[in-house]
Amino acid sequence: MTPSWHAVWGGARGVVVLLSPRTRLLTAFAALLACLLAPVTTARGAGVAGATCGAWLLCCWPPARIVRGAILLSLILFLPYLPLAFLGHDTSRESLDLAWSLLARGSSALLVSLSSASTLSASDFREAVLGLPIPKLVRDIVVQVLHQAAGLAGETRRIAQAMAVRGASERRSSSWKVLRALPQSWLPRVVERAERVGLAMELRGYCEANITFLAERRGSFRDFLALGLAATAVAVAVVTRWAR
Amino acid sequence: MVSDRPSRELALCGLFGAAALVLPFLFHLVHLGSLFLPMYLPLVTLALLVRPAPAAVTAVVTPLLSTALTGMPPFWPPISVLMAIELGVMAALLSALRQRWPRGNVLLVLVPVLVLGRLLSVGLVYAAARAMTLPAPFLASVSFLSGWPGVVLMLVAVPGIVRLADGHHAAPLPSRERGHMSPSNPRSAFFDEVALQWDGWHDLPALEAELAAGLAELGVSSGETVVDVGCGTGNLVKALLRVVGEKGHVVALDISPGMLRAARGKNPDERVSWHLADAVALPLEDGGADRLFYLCVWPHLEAPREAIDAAWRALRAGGHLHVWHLMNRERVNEVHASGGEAIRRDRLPPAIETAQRLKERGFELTQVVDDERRYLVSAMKRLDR
Repeated sequence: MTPSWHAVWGGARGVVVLLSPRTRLLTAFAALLACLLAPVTTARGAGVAGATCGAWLLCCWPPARIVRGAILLSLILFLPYLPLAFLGHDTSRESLDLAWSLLARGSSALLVSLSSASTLSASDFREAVLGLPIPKLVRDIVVQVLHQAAGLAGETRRIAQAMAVRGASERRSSSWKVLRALPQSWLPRVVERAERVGLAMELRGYCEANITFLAERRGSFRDFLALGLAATAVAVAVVTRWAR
Repeated sequence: MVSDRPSRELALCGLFGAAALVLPFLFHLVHLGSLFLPMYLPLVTLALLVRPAPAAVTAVVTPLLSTALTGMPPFWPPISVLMAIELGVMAALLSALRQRWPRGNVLLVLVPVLVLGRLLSVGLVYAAARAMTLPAPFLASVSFLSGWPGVVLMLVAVPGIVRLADGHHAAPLPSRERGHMSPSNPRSAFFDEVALQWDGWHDLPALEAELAAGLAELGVSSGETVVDVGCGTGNLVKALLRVVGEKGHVVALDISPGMLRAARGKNPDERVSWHLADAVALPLEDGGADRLFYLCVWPHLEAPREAIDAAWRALRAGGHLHVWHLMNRERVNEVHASGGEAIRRDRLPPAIETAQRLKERGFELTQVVDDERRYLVSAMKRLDR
């Protein structure tokens, strides 16, 4: 297994990495929204979604393997929907429209989200989340999940490598062994780690600390420009969809 | 038992949320795919350990984070959003029900909520498919049929994990192992807090050697019933078990459930009985003990005089008592002065003063030492008393 998703973080080389982490996250969300809102079954809508997705990819400039991976994943995910699109529709035009909208929206959302992730390192992501005006509970949980995910992913990768070395991942019986090991060893380890982490956090007064300086940080001209462009993309997608 | 400590709760949310992100990869590696709902397992477990708000927030954000970072489950069709809604509702419900009946059987809460979750999932998939003009009945049927192996896995795995986590959190001792203790002793909470770190602050191999040498010098022999008052993380218990032989017995007691848990984990031996009790209410019949140890405990006693009385009753005639520290008095008091609020004022009296108190009760002093290396006051219950 290659749980390489956390290796996706921070690999991008585009201009987006010059923005503050918070702006990166907000503009990524706006780009995603524009791709999902644009009516991709019309030429104009497809143009808006395509332009937004393409522009975002160029601005992020993620590593080629991420783009290749995202395209491959979108084909695997969305091609099975094609036969479904033809069920229950009278005209083939409608079916084609549906199939195309699934593929176009799904693929563009995937490309935008993965390329956005590649512009943020784990610490950037933390800074971005801490800088957002969202409830403290949500912020703290997102930061913790991301932080712990890196450690757990590394540990799981080591388990996977150990299994691969022994040829266990190829054998069918290993599936059941993993299933049995889950409640017996993997999840108890997670519980024990949580106890240790909780105690360490308590000793350091983690929950009493209130990080406000990131929320108070002002953006630069570049940040405002990027946010303006992202908002424009959303506005254009909305107009194309509802002002036909 | 639902956590009431914010740090522990946040750590559980972080780790179980992370597990929900990682587990699908592990399942795909061994060709189990998504049939077993790998993302659900940690989030459902978490809901039984923390309060409704953090449980629901973790359950909602995790699928969305997974989508943002891995592309799976996809944003469009909005599977990740549907999962977030379903998991959020299930987590909030599970946590609220668990809070309402903390001691009830986990399965009684789990079964109805998991079934409800499946039905909610079917409803959401149906509604979303209809809105997207996809064949809604077909997709809803697939959604209904596909999740059941995962439901069975959760029913099998979750109760055990919850029991384990509850054990870590509360460590309820079986009633036969409960002793008596002052309900308001603040040291109990302090020692609970530091129980997991305690051994990390010591050089355990060196401590082990020092204890073994000390026990040999004090003449602990095979077949004795020895009481370890304030057993801490069980290092003395471990050393005693090597000496008392097959027929010997160790009675270990402490005021901190956390310390007892650590000690018990370290010494899974039938020759030890564990008690949540303090030094005043020793869980022994009169004259039932051959020897009592107070290792690094004496300054923490709330009522030393009553403790001496209790020791007198518990010891057989000719039995021994040892007040023992592995550093001198000055150093012990320095350590306590820089420690937590609960122990800051705990002072070890001069060895001669401790000896005098024992003598007043009728003990015969056998050793009084306070040198660079240790503090030791040993006494014997005289045969003629």
